Amino acid sequence: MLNFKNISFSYGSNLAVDQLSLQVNPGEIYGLLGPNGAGKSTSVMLAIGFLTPDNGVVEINGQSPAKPEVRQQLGVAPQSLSIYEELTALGNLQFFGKMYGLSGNKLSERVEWALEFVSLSDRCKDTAASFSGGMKRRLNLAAALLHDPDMLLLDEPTAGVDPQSRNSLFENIEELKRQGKTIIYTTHYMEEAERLCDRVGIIDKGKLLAQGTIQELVKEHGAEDRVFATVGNTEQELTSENHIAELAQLQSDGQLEHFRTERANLEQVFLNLTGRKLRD
Amino acid sequence: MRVIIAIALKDLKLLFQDKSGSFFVFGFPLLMAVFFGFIFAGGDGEVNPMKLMVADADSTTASIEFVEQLTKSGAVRVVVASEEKAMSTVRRGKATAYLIIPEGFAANKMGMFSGNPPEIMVGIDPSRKAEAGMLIGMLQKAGFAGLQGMFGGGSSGKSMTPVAIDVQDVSVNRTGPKNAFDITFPQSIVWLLIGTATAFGVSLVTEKTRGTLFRLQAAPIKPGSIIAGKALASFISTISGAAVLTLIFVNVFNVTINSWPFVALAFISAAICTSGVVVLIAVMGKTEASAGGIGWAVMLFMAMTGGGMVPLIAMPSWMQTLGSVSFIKWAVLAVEGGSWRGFSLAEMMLPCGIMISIGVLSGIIGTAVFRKNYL
Repeated sequence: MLNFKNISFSYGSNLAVDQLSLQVNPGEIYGLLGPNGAGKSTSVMLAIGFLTPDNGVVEINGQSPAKPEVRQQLGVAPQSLSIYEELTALGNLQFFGKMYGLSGNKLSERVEWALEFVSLSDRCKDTAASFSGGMKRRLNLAAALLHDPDMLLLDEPTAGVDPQSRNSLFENIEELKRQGKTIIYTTHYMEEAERLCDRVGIIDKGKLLAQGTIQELVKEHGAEDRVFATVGNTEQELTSENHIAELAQLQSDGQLEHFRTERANLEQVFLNLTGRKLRD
Repeated sequence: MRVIIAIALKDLKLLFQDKSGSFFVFGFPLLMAVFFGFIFAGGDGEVNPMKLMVADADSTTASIEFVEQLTKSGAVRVVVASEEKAMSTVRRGKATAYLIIPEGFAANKMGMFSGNPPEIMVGIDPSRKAEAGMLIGMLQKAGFAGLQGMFGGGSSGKSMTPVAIDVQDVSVNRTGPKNAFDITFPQSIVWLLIGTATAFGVSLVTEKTRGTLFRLQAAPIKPGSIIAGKALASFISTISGAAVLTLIFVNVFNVTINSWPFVALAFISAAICTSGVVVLIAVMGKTEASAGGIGWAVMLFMAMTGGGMVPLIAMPSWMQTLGSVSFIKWAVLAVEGGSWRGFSLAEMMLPCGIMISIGVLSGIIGTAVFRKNYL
């Protein structure tokens, strides 16, 4: 279990995480959503003990993540591709495996499994430099899985990949969940969170604005479902409280050409909470 | 230790994957030394005053005047010393030559007319081959000047030999350089050290900018292992590069190796020194460009002041003094000491001890800065 207790962290005078408290339960996928610069990556770095909070406590199963034995249970796929482009996929994984104490047959077995898991077995002897963006992302994920960690921190793992690679990564993550891994998943893609995450925390300017299941968030912070009717080539939103009655009236008047509904979703929640102003 | 070795091997693999990087570490030193070896073998010429150790056992007016004549040329800087000190100074490479004026020099002066001129003994540093001819000429000239003094002006003594110069082999107790490549071989080691220090000095910043340092720091390893791995990679690179260069120079260019153990000691000391400097350079730069720039600037300064590029003899005395802060100077001296200078173990201890001290100190400072800035 990952526990953030009232964490604050600043880069100089820039407050990156502001009194953040959250809890990630074993076996769940927790999505950390936020616009660019919200503090997601900083939270990941705090979670693995790479950064030390100015205030508050980070604990993993009751222990500091700075401890080597705790880090041994963590797998990290950083947002920036953290692989050696000059080395082969095999060379990268063999090296990172050794950093987690793997050697001999165990190392070979885990490397083989990781390559198979991310569908890179057939390209294992090619250098990472020759890989597409999606393949590099998959290799970045594989490097985090080698030592079979209990908890994974995936920092925007699908950034800059094509739909095929993204789907492949989703399947990988869903399989990891089935294996019982605890996953902290940062993203600003709502559809990813909706597909993968059991619970979501929305963070902005270092503060946790809301958290819960997607249904809970939509119910609490989203707008109502919306209904749009097309009348005389013009689409208009129905504003009455009884949409069905209003549609029936338009139909009986012979004015209704067609209608569509727009369900409240996580994106609306996100925009409602973080605002619509552009973030650079 | 397994982690440190894994990091070192990974860094070496990355170096070999980078063709231009590995060329500057291994190929460039060989090319430079071969190039200058051929140049030195084909010509000479030295314009700066050479340091001449003079032991005047005669201490007569004639011998004093003889030495004064030498200094008048402006081409030599005379340092008076005992015979033993004069010889050892040249043997350690701290002076170009020694001149011993034996007792009876003045008494034998008239012997020149009977074909039995006064004798002087000269020993010249073999690495200063280019200056040897010039010194002999100056000694003869000083002898003739003495004649002019005796006869009060012009002389027809050009066919006579004013002094009998016994050019002693400075390497009486050693092999001495056989050719110019004996001299350029240590220069190749200098370039190897420069290439290694700059190549590995930038690697930590490269890891940082590429994000791999983050993954290493997230792993359950001691932070010092990352630095130690890079230092080990530098050490292995230096030792293996030096070994390859030595094999090439010995087998192809007939370079003299007087003592293999001492050459090995010199290489190990230089490798320790370079590894420490690598750690220091690695933590100084914030970007790859700045780390690379710092690395080259530091190493070129070391090479220039340490006699790695321009021979120390061609430098003003203050620069020669400044050169003592450069580990390059000590690296050259140690390699020469083991190869053709024939140093004793005690003589090897000074350059090797200085290099190891610089390496250890740089490593300690670099590791402290790493812990402060990166953790």
